[in-house]
Amino acid sequence: MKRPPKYAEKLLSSFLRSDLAEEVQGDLEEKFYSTLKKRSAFRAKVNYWYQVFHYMRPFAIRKNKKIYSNQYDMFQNYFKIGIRNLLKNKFFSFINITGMAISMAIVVIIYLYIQDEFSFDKHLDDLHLKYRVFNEHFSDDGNIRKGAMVPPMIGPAMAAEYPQVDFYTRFLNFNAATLFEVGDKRFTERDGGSADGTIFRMFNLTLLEGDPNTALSEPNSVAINTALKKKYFGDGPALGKSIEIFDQHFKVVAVFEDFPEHSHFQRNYFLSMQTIVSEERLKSWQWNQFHTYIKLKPASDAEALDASLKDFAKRNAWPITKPNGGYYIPHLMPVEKIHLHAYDQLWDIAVRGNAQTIYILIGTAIFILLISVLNFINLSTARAINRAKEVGVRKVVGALRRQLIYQFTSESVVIALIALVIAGFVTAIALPYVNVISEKNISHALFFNPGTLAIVLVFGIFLGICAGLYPAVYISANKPSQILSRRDSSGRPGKSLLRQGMVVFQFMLSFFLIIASFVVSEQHAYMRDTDMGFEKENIIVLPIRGEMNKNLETTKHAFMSHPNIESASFGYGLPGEAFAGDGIMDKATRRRWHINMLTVDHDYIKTLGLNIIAGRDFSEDIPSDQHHAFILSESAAKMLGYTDPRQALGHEILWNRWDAPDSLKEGKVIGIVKDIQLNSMRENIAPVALQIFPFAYATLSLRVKDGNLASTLKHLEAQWKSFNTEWPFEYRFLDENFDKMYKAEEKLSVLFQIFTGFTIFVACLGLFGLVVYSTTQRYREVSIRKVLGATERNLVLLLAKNYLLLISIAFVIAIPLSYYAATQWLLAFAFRIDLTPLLFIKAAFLISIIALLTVGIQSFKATRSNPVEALKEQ
Amino acid sequence: MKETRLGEFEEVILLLVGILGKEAYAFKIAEEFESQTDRGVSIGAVHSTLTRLEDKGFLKSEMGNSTPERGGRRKRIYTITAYGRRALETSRDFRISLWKQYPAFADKFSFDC
Repeated sequence: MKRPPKYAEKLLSSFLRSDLAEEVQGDLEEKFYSTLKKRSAFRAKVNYWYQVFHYMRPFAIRKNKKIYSNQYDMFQNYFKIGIRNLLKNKFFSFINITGMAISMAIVVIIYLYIQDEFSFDKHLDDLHLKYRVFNEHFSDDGNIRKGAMVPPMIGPAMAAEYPQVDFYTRFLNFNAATLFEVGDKRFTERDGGSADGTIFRMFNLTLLEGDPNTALSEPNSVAINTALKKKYFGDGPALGKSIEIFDQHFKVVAVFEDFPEHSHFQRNYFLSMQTIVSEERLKSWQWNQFHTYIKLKPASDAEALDASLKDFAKRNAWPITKPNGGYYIPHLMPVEKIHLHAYDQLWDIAVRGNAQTIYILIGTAIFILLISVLNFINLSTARAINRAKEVGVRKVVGALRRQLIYQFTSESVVIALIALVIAGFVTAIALPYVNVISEKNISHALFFNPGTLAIVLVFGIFLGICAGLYPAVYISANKPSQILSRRDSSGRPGKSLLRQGMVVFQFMLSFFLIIASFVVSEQHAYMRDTDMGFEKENIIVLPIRGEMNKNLETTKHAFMSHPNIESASFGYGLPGEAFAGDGIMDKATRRRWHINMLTVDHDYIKTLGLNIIAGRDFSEDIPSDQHHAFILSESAAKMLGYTDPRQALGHEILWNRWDAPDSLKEGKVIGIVKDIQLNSMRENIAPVALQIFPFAYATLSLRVKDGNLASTLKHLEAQWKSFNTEWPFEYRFLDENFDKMYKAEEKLSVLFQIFTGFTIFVACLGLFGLVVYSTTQRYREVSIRKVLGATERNLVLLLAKNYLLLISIAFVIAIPLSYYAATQWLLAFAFRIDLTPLLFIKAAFLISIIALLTVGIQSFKATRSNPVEALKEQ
Repeated sequence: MKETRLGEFEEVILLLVGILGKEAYAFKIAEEFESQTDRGVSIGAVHSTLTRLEDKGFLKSEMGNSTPERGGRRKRIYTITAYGRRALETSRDFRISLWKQYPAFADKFSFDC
């Protein structure tokens, strides 16, 4: 027997008045069975639902008793009084709402920024099982460095030794641009390299064409992303077609979807591994050039694996690396952590964020929230007297204290919600600018999605409660008999120690932030502008291509034939670019040393602007310089054991030739140059050696004069074309590399300055509110003093001195805290600014000026008013 | 003061209560309404109107007997009060007086349209 739908019955009984239940349920059941006789069971059920919904009428719905209680009316009343109060005290409402809106907008922006940073690599399957292998290098001179690239044998050896390794992927990045040719289309492509075929599985790449299981397993195969496919093959299929790369034919075996924006790994094409690297070289245990990822099998213990890797390296790699002066220990880094936590790994190609920046921003968000909440608390408690009568009357009529707390808290929640709406608009307007500064792509959609809005709403209500609770408790504590018996309601606001403490605390936070932003921006400027041992400005770098290699002298002359070009130098190895980490041997002791090798020509030192502190430059007139001379940097001389670098002149050195690894080049040190920093200033300066070695030349560096850059570049392009290479013209400025290196600090510095500015603004807004209130309270006092002959200066001092005292206390407390925090942050940099007292004085000065203006303007206004206005009433 | 005039729907329901006599309860009235007018109506709508008419004093009601197809539940039987009957008569008389004033009605007893 069919029954009416159960859930419809439940729904009906959930709202139906109980006195109607019997007849209605009876009627509907009768209707159901009568429909059942005429039509299908389905129709009967649908009809039953229809009937139930049509019983949702006022007459039939059970009345909720609470609606008739007076709580509803009371809340309506609270709301009404709250709105009236807001409108009555427009000035203070403005201060509260503006402060809250600004701080909320900043917090929401920081929240969006952080959410974006945390969303990296979250799209990968089995994310928790994927790791990147990185090496911790220990060199004999005591240096410890982390490198994102490891030798090619690590991946296969780990997969063979450890059953918990599911599969591995190696990627060899091409630092230089590579020429692609398809028919008459010819472009240089960047951001690619050669990879194992497992790369598609490792990064969950969707293949639009090709088979992910076999792609890249054959020699001379290439996988390209959709952007490249469009560029070379248009809309048609690309599979099986041929691209000429490195003068060889590569068959397209796969077209993969571009890497998503939130992937730390971003590349455009992959060539098959064995085509680029010989079988022999892939067996290396010391060629640290491969980004290596592994995926573990489910339920593997990654920590245990990580711990066992030291032994793994000891057995396999150390016998080979130790004679060359050093050893390494591989470690695993979870792929999901790479974006934020791999910032201390060198030679990385990942899109990098910095966990430290995130912590700093979270700290800033908390600071600004605290300041705006304290503003609110301060102003509300100071002005509690204004609401005292209302509290008195409400209590006499029978309000419980709890109800009054409800009332005042709900008022502050209303204020918070109004501020929230404004903050929403501000965020929406500010977001595009934030994107420009942070070089992100945070869309409005991310902000306006229901999840974010719900979080933001809860946050707003929470903030309202935080801000309102204490003032509510404070205001509602008034005793009605005292309030109502007092005829004059405009007393002075109590000199609450707590309130003064809050002002001190707020200014301490502001002071802390301003010092922090000074430190960040000065460190950035220091790294950008400090002397790195060479002059990085006005150097244009050209790669040497094809025909240009034929006769280097002619090539150089051709490019130099422009009045704006001062000098030119061939070489391999430039600061901020690629250079060779190599080794030299002490001829006398046969000891090997790690050194960065720059292979240069006679004009390198002149072109780059290196400073010779002892000995001489390479000279064309001394033929032996070509084959038997080295120039060392100061720290290289020290490494060889000379306390005074000058004495290293004449020291005999051996070097393994790159063109013939078994033969040695023998030479003497002919000159010492001041230390040069080849990396960013975050790192220590490493020893450097220079020698003439034309075999390795890869670039031509040109020192140009300031100005008239357009004509210089035109000349270079014309010369480039005259060599008839297939390569399109390309050039770069040496200092671009360094700007890139310090991008993170620059972004942080700009964001920080903006946030600090707003924080101080909010803090001063609160201070302004307090001063306005206390001066109006002391209006009569000021007037009487004035009548009795006080000067304006006396009066301003009288009104302002208390606040000045509070701000000075804030300074004193903030100095050690900010000093400590700044020292901690600077530890990450090998070259850092000194924290001079001047820095603190500057910050103190800035805040004092702002605070004094805030207090002073209002006090001055009060003292300038006509005393008659204030006194005539009595 | 309660509204004492009858709306169209109310009038029909009131008449149906009179027609159905001892069988005048919400479900039956709705069925009868649908079969007489060819218009669909939900029991809830009818019930709502019945309640309103009762509030106005045109109807009174009491619980009647139960039947098995209602799961043994009783039904509420409505009956017209004298006041309700008078309201119906007033409404009818008013319409008749209107019809009498309608000019074409006296002559042709038909509409050309």
